Amino acid sequence: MCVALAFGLIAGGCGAPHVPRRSLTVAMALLPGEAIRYRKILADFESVSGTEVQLVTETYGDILHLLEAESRAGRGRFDLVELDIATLGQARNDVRELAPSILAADRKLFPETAWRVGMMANQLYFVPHRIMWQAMIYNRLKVPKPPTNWEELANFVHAHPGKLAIKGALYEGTLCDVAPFIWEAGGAMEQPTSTDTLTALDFLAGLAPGLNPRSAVFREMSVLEAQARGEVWIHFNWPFAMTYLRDKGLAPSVNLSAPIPLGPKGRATVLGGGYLAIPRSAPNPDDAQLFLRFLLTSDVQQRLVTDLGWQNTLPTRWNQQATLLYAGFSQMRAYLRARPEVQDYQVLSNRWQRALAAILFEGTPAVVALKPLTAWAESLPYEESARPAS
Amino acid sequence: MKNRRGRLLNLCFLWLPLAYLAAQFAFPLASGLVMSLNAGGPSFANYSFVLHDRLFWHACSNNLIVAGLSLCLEFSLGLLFALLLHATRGRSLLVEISVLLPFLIPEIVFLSIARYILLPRGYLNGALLSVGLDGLGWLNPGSWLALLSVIVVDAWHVTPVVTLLLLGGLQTIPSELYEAAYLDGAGPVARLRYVTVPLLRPALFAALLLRGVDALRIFSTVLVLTGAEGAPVLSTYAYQLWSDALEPQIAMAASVMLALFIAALAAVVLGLRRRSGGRAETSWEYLTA
Repeated sequence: MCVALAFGLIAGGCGAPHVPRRSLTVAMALLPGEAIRYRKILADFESVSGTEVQLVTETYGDILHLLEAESRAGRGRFDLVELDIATLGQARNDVRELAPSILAADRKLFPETAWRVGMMANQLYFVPHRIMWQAMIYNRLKVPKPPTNWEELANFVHAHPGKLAIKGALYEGTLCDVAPFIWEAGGAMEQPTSTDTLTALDFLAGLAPGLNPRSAVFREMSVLEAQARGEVWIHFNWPFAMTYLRDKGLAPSVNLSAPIPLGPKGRATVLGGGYLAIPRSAPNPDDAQLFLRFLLTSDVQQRLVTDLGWQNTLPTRWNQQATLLYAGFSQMRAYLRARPEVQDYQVLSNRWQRALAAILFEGTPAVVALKPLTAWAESLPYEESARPAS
Repeated sequence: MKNRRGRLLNLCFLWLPLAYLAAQFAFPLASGLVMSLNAGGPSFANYSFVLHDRLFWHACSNNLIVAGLSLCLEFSLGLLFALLLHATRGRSLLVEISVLLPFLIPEIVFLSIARYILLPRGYLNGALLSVGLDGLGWLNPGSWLALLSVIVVDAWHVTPVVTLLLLGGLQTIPSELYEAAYLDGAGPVARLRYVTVPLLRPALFAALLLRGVDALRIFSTVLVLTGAEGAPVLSTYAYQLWSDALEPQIAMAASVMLALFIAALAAVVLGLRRRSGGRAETSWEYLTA
């Protein structure tokens, strides 16, 4: 009888009145280690706002696909999504415009270039979540003096064939390796056959025979694994590479970072990273906006720098080891460049990837390989309206 | 009453499975087709892109080479192992386990092991170096060696399937036929040629169809060993378009073409089977007449 009564009371809800908690579902491209540290930051937001945050970790590609699917369906589950910087143009129609107050209040947290990438037609759609850029990673035991300019890089390749690698698979990462060389020569991806662009491509084509033979399939992780195994001595990668090498005991004792070698017309690195956006179909857009404001506070940004190694413009409080590890990245901070601000960037990127594969791995002359790209690029409408009023 | 029962049986055994198939198969196929024909409006532009893409033709030729050579290797080894297992049935558990083991290991584990063996600083090159030979670029993108590595690893992984199918076929051959052939003076080679192979033909065709379709769809072996670009085949080509190029419509067009390609080859195999079906049973009779 008593047991039945107890069950009855439990079933009927005899405790405190149930108040449904607000919840927020966010999709981010976090590595497992990052997700653990990121959840601690989310816990702070939950305690401050009373909103429960469900974190779903996916790849950038899958997040983009789910955003498109939810947008097409007209209803969705996700309130906030993190997108790769290279796919913002593609996602633009599936996300909401953000209140300009976000931009006004927290503009100083990220470089102007990073904010500009998130704006289209003078409207803010995407907020920088983490920004990063590439630097050169080298094996200090094998390469005591890393190359500082193109000439030294070419000399290194001739002296040590197979020890320089680039990420040459058919994906966006290839352009992240090649674009800095094009910019350092004074060229532009939007002008594939300009003299300066061809100078850079000729230089890279000259290096090609001495590249690591697996460069044609290397991506971020595979080239990093090759560097960790000692198969590759120099490659270009994002800051997470140093964390990876450090965790394996291979940095700073074996590997260090250095600036990308200086080109004939200067130095450059590509701006990369993830941006947050509120999907059109978000069930709780106001809470998502609240979370964005929480993220864009100096305290939280400082934690993202110290706990996760992410970048913004705040002064970095690194310890001695981290300062040594990220030295190359710190030096490249001043040379950040965004990818072309064209409406159909993905198509431009895909055509460049095909052309680069032909130039670097099949020995096709640059002018021939770039032919399909040239006519298309010449007709590109530059999205002047997308640039924010300065 | 009988009619009503018949209608009920029709519903249970015909219409419900058909509805299930339609939901599971026809709808995705139709929506895939529609997607492949969408290039900012109905058009064949995605198919045109694929047909004009040099990489597509490269993937096509690789697909045929990998499938063809892999099948040759699998069937030679599969038949050999099946005969061995049939001859030593119940007597050598070790042989059975070693033949079937590659298929029992989860695919990703098996392929990761194969990758570690074939990497530039992998076990195979380590073994070569230890006997004073230079290591080779087994997985170097675009090389014949990479293609060969894919073929060998694929054959290594799926030969047990062929072995099991052929072993099943061998066990259906009556032992009296072998005794009769023996009494007629047929040696081991003649018995294999005139008894085993002809009577194994139905099993061979079943294995060829099953493995042929599977070999043409090869995906994970290529992706894990060489990456999508290292030794591109049609499925990795479509995958690259979908996941990296973010061109789902073009990827779907490539997938539809792969499906049509497989369907055409399967039809050829089925046609061959039908044509040769009658002869299989009569080979021995013809020989001994």
